[in-house]
Parts: sequence; C-alpha cells; structure tokens
Amino acid sequence: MRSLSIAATGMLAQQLNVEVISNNIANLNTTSFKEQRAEFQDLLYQNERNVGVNSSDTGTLVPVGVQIGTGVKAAAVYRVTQQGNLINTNNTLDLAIQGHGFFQIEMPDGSTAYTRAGSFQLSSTGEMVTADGYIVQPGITIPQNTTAVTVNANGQVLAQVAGQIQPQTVGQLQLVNFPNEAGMALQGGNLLTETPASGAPVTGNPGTTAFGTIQQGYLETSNVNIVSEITNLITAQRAYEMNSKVIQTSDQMMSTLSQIQ
Amino acid sequence: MDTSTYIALSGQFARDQEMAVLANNVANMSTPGFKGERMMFSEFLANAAGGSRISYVTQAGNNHDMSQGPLSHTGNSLDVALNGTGWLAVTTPNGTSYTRSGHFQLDPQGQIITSNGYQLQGDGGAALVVPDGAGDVTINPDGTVATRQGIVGHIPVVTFDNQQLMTAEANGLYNTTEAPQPIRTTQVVQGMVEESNIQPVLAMTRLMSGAREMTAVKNFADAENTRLKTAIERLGKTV
Repeated sequence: MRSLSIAATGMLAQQLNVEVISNNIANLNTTSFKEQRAEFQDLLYQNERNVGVNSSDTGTLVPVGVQIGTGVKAAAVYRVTQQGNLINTNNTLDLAIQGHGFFQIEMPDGSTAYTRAGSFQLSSTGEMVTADGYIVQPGITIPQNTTAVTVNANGQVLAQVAGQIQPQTVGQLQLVNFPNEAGMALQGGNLLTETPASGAPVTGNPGTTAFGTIQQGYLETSNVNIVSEITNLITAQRAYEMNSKVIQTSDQMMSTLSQIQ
Repeated sequence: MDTSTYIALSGQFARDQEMAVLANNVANMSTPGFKGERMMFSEFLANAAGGSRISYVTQAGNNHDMSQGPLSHTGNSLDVALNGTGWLAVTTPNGTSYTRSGHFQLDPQGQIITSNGYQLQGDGGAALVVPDGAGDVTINPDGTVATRQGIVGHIPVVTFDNQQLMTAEANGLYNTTEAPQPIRTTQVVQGMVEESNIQPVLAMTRLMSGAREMTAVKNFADAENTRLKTAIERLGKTV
C-alpha cells in the first residue's frame, strides 16, 4: 500500500514543521532573531493514465488522467526578514538597525560574519566588541576618559572626552546589504555568513539609500509573532494526527486484506 | 473460472488507489498552493458466460480540486498569494510551468526565484530583476512589482480554458499544453501565501468510508468463498 509511505512523508514534514516552530518560540526573546518558516512541496506524481491523450481514432481526448502523488517534502526553511520591534534599553552601546543592513563582525579566524544584534560592549582596550568579544568592523576604539558616547542615526560615533569641550569623532559604523538576505547562512550566536545564494555584500553608511539608520539605546527584538506560532503549532499537530490516522486506516485495510479467506 | 473473486479484486484495487490519493492529500496539508485530487472510478462491463454482463470497477481519472485555498499571512515581502482563479508562470529547465505556491526569494543577481531556483516570469516571460540596493519590494494587487527606485516589472496572472487538463508535477508545479490566457480580475496579494485547499473533515470521512468499503468487499469475498466451499461439499457428497 502506497498510502502508508505517503502518510509517513506527511508525518515527517509535520515533525519538521513543529521543530521549526519550537525554535521560533524558543527564540522569542533573542535579539534580532528572524522567524523561520518551513516550506513544503509535493513529491513526484505517478502517471497511470495520461490526461489529454486521444481516447479514440476520432480524436476524443481523455478529460482527466490518473495521477497519484507520492507525498510531501520540505523544500526550504526560510527566514522572514521583516523588521522586529525596537525596545528601549538606555544602554549607550545598544544599537538597533531601523531598516535594511547588517553590522560586520570580525570572527577569531579572520572571516567576517554579519549580525543585526547590536548589543555591543567595550573590550579592555576600548574597542567596540560583541557580547562574545568579537570585534565590530570597521574597528572603533573609544578613547580613555570618555564620559559619553553618542552614535547618531548615520552611524557616526562621537566620544565626549573629559576635559574637552567638543565631542570627538572616533569612527563611522558601516552596514552591509545582500542581494538575497534570505540566502545567508545562520551560524548561531545571532551571526550570519555570506553564501553563494546571498550574493556579495554591499557596504554603505547607515541612512544612505537602501540602508537603515542606527538607533542608539535600542535593541531589535525578535520578529516572532507568538499568536501565529501557537496557531501554526496547533495546525501542525492536527495535521500530524491526521497523517497518523491515514497510517492506521491503511494498516486496518491491509489487515482486512490479509484476512480474506 | 468464477469471476466474482476478480470483481472483488478490482474493488480492492480501486480502494487501494483511492487511499494513495487521499494519503497524498493529507500529507500535503501544509503545502502552499497545493490542490487536492479526487479519484473517480467507472464501471467496466465485461461479457460473461451465459450472455450476462458483469461489471468491474476501473479508474476513470482524478479530478483536480481547483478551489481557492485559505490565504495565510507570512509577512515576507516576496510571498505572493493569488486571490481568485489563475496561475503564476515560472521558467524551469523544461520550459514554462505554472504554480500557485507563492513563496519567492531573490537570487544573487536580484532575480525573483522560487525555492527551487526557477525564475518567476514577468510580462513576455522575462525574469523580474530587483536592482541592487533598491530596498523593499512592493507588489501591487494588479501584479506590478515596484521599489523606491521605480517599477521593476509586472507579474502576469494567467488562466486556462480547461484547468483539468493540467498535469501536476512535483514541487507545486503544473504543466499544460493549453495556451495561457491573461486574467485581470485575480488579485496578487503580497505578504501572504495560499495554503493547501485540503479540507481535513472531508479527507478523514472519505478515509474512513474507504476502509469500510474495503471491509465490505472482503466480506463479500468471504461469503463467496463459503458459498463455493459449501457447493463443492454438497455436490461432491456421495449419496
């Protein structure tokens, strides 16, 4: 019975769906987390009777064919790149991007990773680093004896050093965009990396065309919508149950067959 | 040879096929743009000994249920749902195919593609290319794709005289030999996808009745077996 294996593909798909949903719910409070969705596609069809072929010499056509599908597969788990809400933290080095763009982070192995989670800190030498201690690119060093740091909407970093009247410009933050943001690879730790699917990064200053602006003292929350996650979870569970019901029924039918005298 | 067993076999075979179609419908309950299939059977009359005719059951075809599936919000700016009849055309390695599964993304060149990498066709079959750094994409109900830098193109919605002649391919794609007709009344809805149009209640009830029908055919086969056995016993009895 084909129906057994077809229903099994359905159960596997719903299991993946629940896994994706549970990861979304688990990351409800993760800074700048982007909701993921599992996308499914139907599998190949077996053509047992072709539609549209001649059914007689006089040219009559078969109006409907017999096509039996073989189940479902996961086509993609994609990120919904919608902007998350901004929450006020009042922390000087918490930076949120309002609009498109990623901060560039230099990884310990010298490669570059990208993030929208702007909860930065200072290292012992005054460099701007992530919570994991990775350096934010382009490197910005806050001088000693700084009393206040201001990051304006265009990404300029100004430090007010004790004893000076004018704030001093210590650097310019830059953002990068990708042609296909959804094609970037997730690395964990709120980091993403470039892939052949994402395209090459385009660097620009915040606030210029196609780049978002910087909001100091704010963080971007995750864009997970808990109401839709819970409803998706319920739907997935029911779909799982129904697929298992198909398996049960197919099993019952097979047992009926085996009892024929 | 007695034909009743073969009639019962044709009945069981039909149930088995229908179960595969139902299982495929239920398995694709969360597949965007999926259209349910309904199995149809027909009677096949065969001449039997003694001038009578006996009827087998045979497959006639399966109908695509082309009704609209519910639209669900995704918030993704490149997700497109069609509200009404119609299809989106995509370019595959084997030519043009049609789909209602509306999750699209950009490739590194900015072309709008499906999750399998097939290009979404704009007017005249050309790819839709979103320029680098153009920012958010807006897709209007009439299918016009625009960014802040201006109009990128137009997504044509097409329909066919007889949608039942379409054949389902894998990955949510359909093929047909008919010529596409543009349809302007169908809205292109951005940020939503069309869910599969499977109605769980109908699928489940059909599943249960299918199982019962199989039991009924089995009971018939059993009864027929008993009849034959009794006949052989009685007729073979020496007086």
